[in-house]
Amino acid sequence: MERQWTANPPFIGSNPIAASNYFRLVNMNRIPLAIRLSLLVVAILMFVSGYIWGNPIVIWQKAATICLECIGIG
Amino acid sequence: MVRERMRRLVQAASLVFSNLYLQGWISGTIFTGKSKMFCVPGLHCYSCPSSVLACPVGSVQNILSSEGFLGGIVTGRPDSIILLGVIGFLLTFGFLAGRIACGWVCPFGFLQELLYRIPSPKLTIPSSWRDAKYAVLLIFVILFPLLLRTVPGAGGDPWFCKVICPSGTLFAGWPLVLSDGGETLQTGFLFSWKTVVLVLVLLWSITSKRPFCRALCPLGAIWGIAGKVSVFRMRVDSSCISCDRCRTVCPVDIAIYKEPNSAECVRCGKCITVCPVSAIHHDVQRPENN
Repeated sequence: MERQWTANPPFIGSNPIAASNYFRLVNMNRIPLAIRLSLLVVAILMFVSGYIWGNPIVIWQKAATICLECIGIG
Repeated sequence: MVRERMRRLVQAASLVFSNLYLQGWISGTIFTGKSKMFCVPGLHCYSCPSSVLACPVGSVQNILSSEGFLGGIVTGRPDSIILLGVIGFLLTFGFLAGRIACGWVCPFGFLQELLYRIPSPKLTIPSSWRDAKYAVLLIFVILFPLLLRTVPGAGGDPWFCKVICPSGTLFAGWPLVLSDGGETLQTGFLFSWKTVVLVLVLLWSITSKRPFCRALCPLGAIWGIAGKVSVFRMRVDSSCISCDRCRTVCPVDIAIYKEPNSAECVRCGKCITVCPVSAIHHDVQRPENN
């Protein structure tokens, strides 16, 4: 059976169980391209902002020394 | 077949590109250049002697397990923001094309595909086992590194790397231990345990299609979830005759006509090549027929 988005989700103002059932029925493949693209843009922004405003040296410091846990020693 | 040759070429090129420090294998040291600030889109240990990039799973765990990370979130500590960067890096691949990096880049996935070519009795993996990788992600990559502390107030451990990751044992543990000759790196129970895990995964890879990717890999779990809403996706036309040829060649053993955007799909495109009625396509906008 074809699963469709409905214009008015039945759970609005209702209980969480109804909400979870609704999301189980919603076909994720029908999420509009605009939303999918927006998620991609958000991820790119997270990546860029993380590396600009964060401290990538944190990653380098760990990666540039032998990780004893990773090799099964520590 | 052009697509498959191209994929093999990309897999091999990724392996070479992320392992440019070849002298590390001779000297028994690891690369310390600044390129290690950036992650490789795949499971590849940054303690591998030739690796010039960082492992994203290891990076996430190390940031989560760092001393004072939880308190630092409130104060906007730089570690918290760089964690956002690593997660953004992973989600960018996931939201773009799901597990495409598993199929085209990941060295450990490549190794498993090669091992499966060894003639042997072939076994299927129960579909319920796929869910184990979500538990591995939640428990060993997120919760344990974040919450388990041997000494209160001190940093934690990267538990996935420590007790599971067979890639680390194969590409970093054994090469470093062998070149060290037991002088400084003293092996014990943990190393033996990880070797057992590695051997089991390698043997399993001979009999089953990409077992680690399907049952245990936390990267696959992240990309599988993100792939549900990815921009590039798979579409199966109504012209599909359900011949199951796609499943036969699929490196992760999915019937794409039943589940076009399965969280397991590594977007290798083998199914597109073998489909006798050309019913399978890559797509961006049009919804697929189920």
